[in-house]
Amino acid sequence: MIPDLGITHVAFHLPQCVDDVRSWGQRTGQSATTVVQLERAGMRYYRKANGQTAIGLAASAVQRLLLTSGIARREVDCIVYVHTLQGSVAPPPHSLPGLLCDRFGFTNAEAFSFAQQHCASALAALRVIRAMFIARPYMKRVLLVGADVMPLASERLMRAEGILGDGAFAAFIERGAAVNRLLAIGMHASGLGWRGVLANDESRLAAQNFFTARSLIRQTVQQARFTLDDIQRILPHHLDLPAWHRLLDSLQVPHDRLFAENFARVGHVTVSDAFINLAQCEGLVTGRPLLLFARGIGGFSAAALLVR
Amino acid sequence: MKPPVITAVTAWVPEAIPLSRWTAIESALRATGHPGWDAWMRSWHPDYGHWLEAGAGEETGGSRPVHSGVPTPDVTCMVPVETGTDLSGLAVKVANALCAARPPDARPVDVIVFCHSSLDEHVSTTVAGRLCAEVGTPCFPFSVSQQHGVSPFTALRLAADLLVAEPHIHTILIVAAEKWCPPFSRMCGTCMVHGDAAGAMLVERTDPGTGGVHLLDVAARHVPVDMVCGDAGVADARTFPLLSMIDSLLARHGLHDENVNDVVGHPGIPSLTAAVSDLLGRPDTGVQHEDCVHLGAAESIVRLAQILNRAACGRRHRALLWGYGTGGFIGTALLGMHGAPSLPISKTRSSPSHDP
Repeated sequence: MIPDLGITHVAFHLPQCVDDVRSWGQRTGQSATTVVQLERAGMRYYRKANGQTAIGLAASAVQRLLLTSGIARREVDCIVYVHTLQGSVAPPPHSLPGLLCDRFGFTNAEAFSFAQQHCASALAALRVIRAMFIARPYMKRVLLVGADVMPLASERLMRAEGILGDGAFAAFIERGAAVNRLLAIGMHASGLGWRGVLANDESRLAAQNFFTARSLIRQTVQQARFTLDDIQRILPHHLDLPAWHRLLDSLQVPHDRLFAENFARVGHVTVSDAFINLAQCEGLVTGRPLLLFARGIGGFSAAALLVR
Repeated sequence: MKPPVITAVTAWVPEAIPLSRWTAIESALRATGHPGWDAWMRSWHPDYGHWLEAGAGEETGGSRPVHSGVPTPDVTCMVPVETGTDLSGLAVKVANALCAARPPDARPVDVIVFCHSSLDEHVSTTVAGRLCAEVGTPCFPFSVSQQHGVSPFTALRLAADLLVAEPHIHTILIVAAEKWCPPFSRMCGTCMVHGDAAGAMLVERTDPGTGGVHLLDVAARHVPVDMVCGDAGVADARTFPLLSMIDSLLARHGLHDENVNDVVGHPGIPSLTAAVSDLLGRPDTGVQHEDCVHLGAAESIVRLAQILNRAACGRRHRALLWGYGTGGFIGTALLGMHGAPSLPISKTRSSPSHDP
């Protein structure tokens, strides 16, 4: 483990166009029940890219990150691009991370895409990034970028759990980090439900997801020798807010530890939820741990414990 | 730490058919529509329309790249085409073949890395997830992509990193597969056509003295491609970084060109092949299929399986693999054969018309 590896800077980009679930429901012919279920799940608004592709959103997030961090482009050692949807890429055989290197002049950077854990891909990528830092002493800074765009309005529905919103994030992971130091990473992958919406296995996997989340959160916190009481905030994926409340009850964690403001504001922004929350969650206390959590359809869950 | 060892390799290359026959099949497939991808094809147009309309694989923002001496694929060019299964089915075929050859008491697979550049049947599926479900035990599955032919080099590098960083990890399965079908084109610019194929290899932490294919070193990087030139007298932008990468890799291990027995690269850019051959003073030994056919992420594993079939594993033998990816990627790997592998190396499996 590297004691001072951390997420030093985070930025995100959400498209300007705001839509609400009721209007979306009318336009796509959803039943009133579906819309009510979505509202019960915590959804109100989401962002839509309106013709922008994933690279446009990703580039905006990277641009913002470079401006706020002041990091020189030649000081980026590697770009890891993550996404949920197979379509959030450059048309094959082209390379979206390669195009980001060309556009921003990351001349010293390796660049590849890490994916196929769906919305858990960003947190799962932290495990590979941590391994790169441990095995490569020369590596100082990795740029983690995530983006997704859903061009089909009707396919934004994530069962009754949430509505899929468009957006992107970018974050620097560095040695010598003064904030957001990475203490532990936990993950679970079964691959059950690998056919995605073609098989619609998620109802069958719902109970399993609950128990997986509970044990994964416990294990990740224990890995770093903390207790659940020590966790100052949980930064969640934006799916099924009532299920999060049941999970917290089961773990005996007070509901106010959950940073839940963004469920209604932006919907489920795939791989970006945890990082948008990290950028927006105010009042985090230095020296106390916080937990990031994400679940991807298909049987993937990941958690990361940071200390502010 | 001891270098990781590649303990098993297998590959599958389907029957090759004339490009003209594929063109007829493709026309019929295009007419049926592709509900899983049509919306994305439309959505990509604002940013990538020039590529989608001019042909995939171009790197010059409009003008077509012409590499010196490259044979343009003609209608008689023989291209491996998979007709029996989809991308994830191809990946599972080689993964299962490799895992079936393991002893019953073999360690479970800890990590699965799936390499690809072509896309699966629907936008919501996950091939890495399917491989995880097939292997049957929870593990760490993920994909490495958008590097075209270089993804396996990155996968090997990440495998080596994970073995250093996480002492409990012992067994890593790397699978690469490509299957090109509409709405995506297997034509890559004017110079290259993509073939379907799959390959798998097992990378393991082993005891000292274990025989097998030792991964001595591996590297992958991105090179800016806005300077890719079409003039016969100007080198491909990847040439000098690739030669420099090979030089550094050999120097790190105190080796010279005469210490490398086999040099195995990618087809499609003769100037790159010639430059590497000049540097190492020997011809490329891996060419098996037509020079205008590229197997994408599967290329290097297919070629590795081919040289392992030929190599005498009982003696010391070094091989240098090199490859490139559209979009400006290069990769190299230095392998050392140390006695017999701990598991039998599978033969390259291919349909009768494509037997090496």
